[in-house]
Amino acid sequence: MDMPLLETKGLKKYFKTGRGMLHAVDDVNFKIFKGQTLGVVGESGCGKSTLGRVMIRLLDATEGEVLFEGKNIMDYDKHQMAEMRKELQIIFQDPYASLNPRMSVSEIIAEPLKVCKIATSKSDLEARVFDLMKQVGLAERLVNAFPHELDGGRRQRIGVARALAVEPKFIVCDEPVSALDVSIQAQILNLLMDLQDQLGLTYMFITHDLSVVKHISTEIAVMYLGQCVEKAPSDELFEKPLHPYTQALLSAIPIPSLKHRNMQNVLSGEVTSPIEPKPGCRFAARCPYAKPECTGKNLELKEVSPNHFVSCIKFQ
Amino acid sequence: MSVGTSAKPKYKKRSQIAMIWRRFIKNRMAMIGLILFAIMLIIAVVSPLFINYETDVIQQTISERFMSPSAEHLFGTDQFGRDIFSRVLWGARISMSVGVAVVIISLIIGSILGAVAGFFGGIADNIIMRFMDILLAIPGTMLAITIVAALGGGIQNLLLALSIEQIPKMTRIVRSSVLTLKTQDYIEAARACGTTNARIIYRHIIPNAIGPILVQASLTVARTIISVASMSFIGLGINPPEPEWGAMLSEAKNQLMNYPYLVVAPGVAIILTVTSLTLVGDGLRDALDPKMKN
Repeated sequence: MDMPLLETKGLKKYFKTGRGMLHAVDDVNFKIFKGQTLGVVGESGCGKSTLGRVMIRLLDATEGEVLFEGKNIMDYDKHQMAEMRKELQIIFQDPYASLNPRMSVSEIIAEPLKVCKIATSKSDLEARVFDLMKQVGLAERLVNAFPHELDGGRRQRIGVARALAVEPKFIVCDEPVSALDVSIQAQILNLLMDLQDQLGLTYMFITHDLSVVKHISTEIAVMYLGQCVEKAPSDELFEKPLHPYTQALLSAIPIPSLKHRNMQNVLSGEVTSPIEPKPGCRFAARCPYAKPECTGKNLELKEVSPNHFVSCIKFQ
Repeated sequence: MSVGTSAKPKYKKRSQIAMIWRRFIKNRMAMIGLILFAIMLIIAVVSPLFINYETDVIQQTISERFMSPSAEHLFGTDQFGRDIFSRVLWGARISMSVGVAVVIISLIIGSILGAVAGFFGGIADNIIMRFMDILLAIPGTMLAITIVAALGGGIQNLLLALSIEQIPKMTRIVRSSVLTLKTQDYIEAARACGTTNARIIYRHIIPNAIGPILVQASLTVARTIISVASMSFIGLGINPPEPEWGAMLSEAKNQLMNYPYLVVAPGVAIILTVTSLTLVGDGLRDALDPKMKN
């Protein structure tokens, strides 16, 4: 098989808190191949966003490697990293907070071009800004507008244009549609998929919305408290979820039907604390199938069928 | 912006300053404040052209003591026969220059300290802010009185004392705006394409932090003018015979029962200046908010 575009090996990110180490990302391993989309799902606080930021080294990992085209970017020095920044980009969740309110649309999109010295002249810069705006479907007349004058969808398009400006190979989409109206969500998702086809982009798509992730991902990883509990190709995960947590998540997708009433498999209890977690399955406290063997020993992600990995005592 | 024009829209820089100014002039109270302050400032600058410091401001003419307001002496004369009108006008020079000097000093030092504390955090933040906490724990006027008492009077020591009083406030404002800005997603987006710290500060932090800092600066001038007046009033500020407003009030207080008009002119001068600056500060706060409609 080809070399993956991006690969993580034993990636860990801990934060120091007053009560001990917070395990935001704990031993995550996966591969993302060129042109594919890895969907990362999980509830709030499970470390999805931290994972996204560590992947493009906006945060340094506590332990582990992130290999981009086979090379570990965690070892890169300042200059190598500056070059690397052009390959790895991010799109943020909140299109209000992710755009500088004092900069116009053109300035926001031009900024990465200036920082990375991509544009050679003023006219080149201008042409590139208009190209990018066209690419993300922003009308030319908006070039001098300020973010607060635009709606959420247009703002998010600016965020996409800014990420595309440096011609990256890999983009972390950190819940890019969860702050938008449903009608706008579809537009942005379609834009992202069109861009992927045209430019051969690779995405890591972070979300808590399963219907969104099904739409866009080739492969899905389910995260719980900093760990990847199940990973499978998109269709397989929806058809044959193996981990009890994945099953619970899928059963929570609302079905718009009057006849459908029984909410099976509703989880009880709260997420346990991510600070200094005990060894063993982290989901055990809420798992309806929990046994005494679940605690005490960390579980491995095990390949139960081709490309379908799960970390649960039932499959060890 | 016109919709549906066939020509390619011009790629131009919309000036932030022009937009802020447009919003500012729509605010009536702020404009009144600005005009008042501008008048004060012009008076302070041009008063030497028609007032002679030696003969009009400090020369004592005993035969003309306590004259009531008249055409010759608009606000009357004081207990040494000096023209109060000339002295109040000249006093604007002192109050303005001390106020502006204190703001410049505290702005420069406070911005640097606050930006370092907020942007880099950690140990630097701890050391700077704990030191500022110590300064803030002492009541401002007390601190100023102590410094002047220890170092002696005079305008230099007064400047030093009032600046030390204002620096912690400025540092805190700058630090808190930098802290909130630092975690904004657009700063992270800037980092994601490899923007250097210097450029992040210059392109993203300063333009967004300038609002609260400017507001604070205009209010600091107002506060400083009051501080100078009160320091002079208790004899620790500008020394006689300089026509400082607070010193004039202090001199007039003994004659308050017999010649109440003595306090009117310097008192009104202080109130007008401070009010105008407060109005300007409030107007700036609104005008600098980028989300305000044009």
